[in-house]
Amino acid sequence: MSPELGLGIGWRPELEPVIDSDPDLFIEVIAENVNSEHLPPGLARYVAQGRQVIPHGIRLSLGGAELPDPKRLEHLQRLAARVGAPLVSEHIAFARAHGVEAGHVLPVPRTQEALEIIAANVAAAQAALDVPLALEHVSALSEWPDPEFNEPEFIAALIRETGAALLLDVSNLYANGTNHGFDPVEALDVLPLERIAYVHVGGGVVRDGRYHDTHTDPVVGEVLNLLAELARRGPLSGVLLERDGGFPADAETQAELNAIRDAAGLG
Amino acid sequence: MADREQYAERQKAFLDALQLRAPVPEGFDANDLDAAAAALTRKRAAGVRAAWPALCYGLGEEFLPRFRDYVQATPPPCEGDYAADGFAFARSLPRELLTEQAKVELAFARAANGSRLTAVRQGRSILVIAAWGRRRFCLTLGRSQPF
Repeated sequence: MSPELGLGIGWRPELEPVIDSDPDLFIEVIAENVNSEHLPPGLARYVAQGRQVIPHGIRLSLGGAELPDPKRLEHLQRLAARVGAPLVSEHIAFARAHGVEAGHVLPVPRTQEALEIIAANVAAAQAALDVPLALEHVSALSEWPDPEFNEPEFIAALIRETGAALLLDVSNLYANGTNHGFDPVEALDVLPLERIAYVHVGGGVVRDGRYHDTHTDPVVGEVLNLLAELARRGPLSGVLLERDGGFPADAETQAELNAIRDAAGLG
Repeated sequence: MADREQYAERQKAFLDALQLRAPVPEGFDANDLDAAAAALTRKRAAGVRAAWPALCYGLGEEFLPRFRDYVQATPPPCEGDYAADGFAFARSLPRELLTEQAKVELAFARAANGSRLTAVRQGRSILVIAAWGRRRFCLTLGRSQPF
C-alpha cells in the first residue's frame, strides 16, 4: 500500500542546497507553513522536478475535543493536490483546547474514551481527503495519568480502528521509551509495522536527565540503532530526516542523511 | 458515549499548566510537567528570538523573565507564526525597554502588518517608513549622522 519514497528530508529553505544535491530525496512540507496557491519558489521547483512531496500537518488537532476544522482539511487537500502528494500525514495529538492554541503537538490521554474521540476525528479527516492519511505518534515529556493502554497498544488500536497508515517516528519512540521507562525495541513488537507509510528520524539532546526531541540537534546513535532494528523487521519504504533549526554545515546534514540511509538499509 | 466537553476541559487544564497559567492538574507528575512547560517556553522563545533578533537580544538578561510573563498572559498565535508571536511580545513590553534597533524592527513589522505610515526616532533624526502595497519606502528626516 505504501509508495516507494526512499530517503527524504523535511523542506526548509536553509536545507535547499542539500536537497538540490540529491535529486532522489523526497520532501515533506509543514502544511500550515505554505499557501497552496503560491508555493515558496524552492518548493515549487521541487514539485516541478517531479519529486515526491508529502504535506505534514501540525494544527489539525486530531486528538482534540472538536472535529477537525473543514477549512484546515480543505487546505490540506488542496496542498496535497497541488504537490501531487501520494499521502498526507498528521499527529495523534491536540494542538488547541477551548480555542487556546498550544503552539505544539501535545499528547492525548491513552483511554478508551480518547480513542473513540480521535477515531471519529480521523474518520472526518479521511472523508475530506482524496489521499491516504498517515498518523504520527508524538514525543512528550509530560504524560497523562491513569492510562488504560500503553503507548504502542494505543497507537495500534487507533490504526486498527481508523485504517490509517502509520508514520513511525523512531526518535519519538526512543524519547518516550527513555523518559517514561519502556523499551522502544519491545514496542516494535506491538506496533503495526505492516501499516508504516514512512518513518521519521529527528535529532535530540539530553538535558537535566531527560531526552529532548528538539529537531535542532544531531541524531543520536541510539535512535539510529532503533532505526536499524526497525529495518531488520522488514524493508522500509521511506525514511525522512526532520531538522527544524540550528542548521549545521551542508556536509554534516549530508553525512546524517547517509547514516540514516545505511541504518535503514535503503539502497 | 465519549464526553467531548469533559475531554476538552481536561485538555485545557493541561494546556494552561504547560503555558504557566495554572497549577499542575491532579494526577500529573509535577516534575515532568514542569520540564515540558520549560521546554515549550524555550522552543517558543527560540522561535521569537530568530524572528525578532534586535528586540530579543536588545533586552539582554531581561529577555527570559519578560518572555515568561508574556507566555503566561498570551497563548501562541493561531498558526505558530513566530513573527506574529514576536509582534505581540514587542507590544506587551514597556516602550522604554526597547533599544533603538528594536524600535526600528517594530516599525518595519507595523508596516508589514498594514500601517501605511510609521515613524521612529533615531537619535536626532526620524526614520519614516511608508508602505504602499508590498513596497516599502524609507526616509530619514533631520540631521544627518556624522561618520
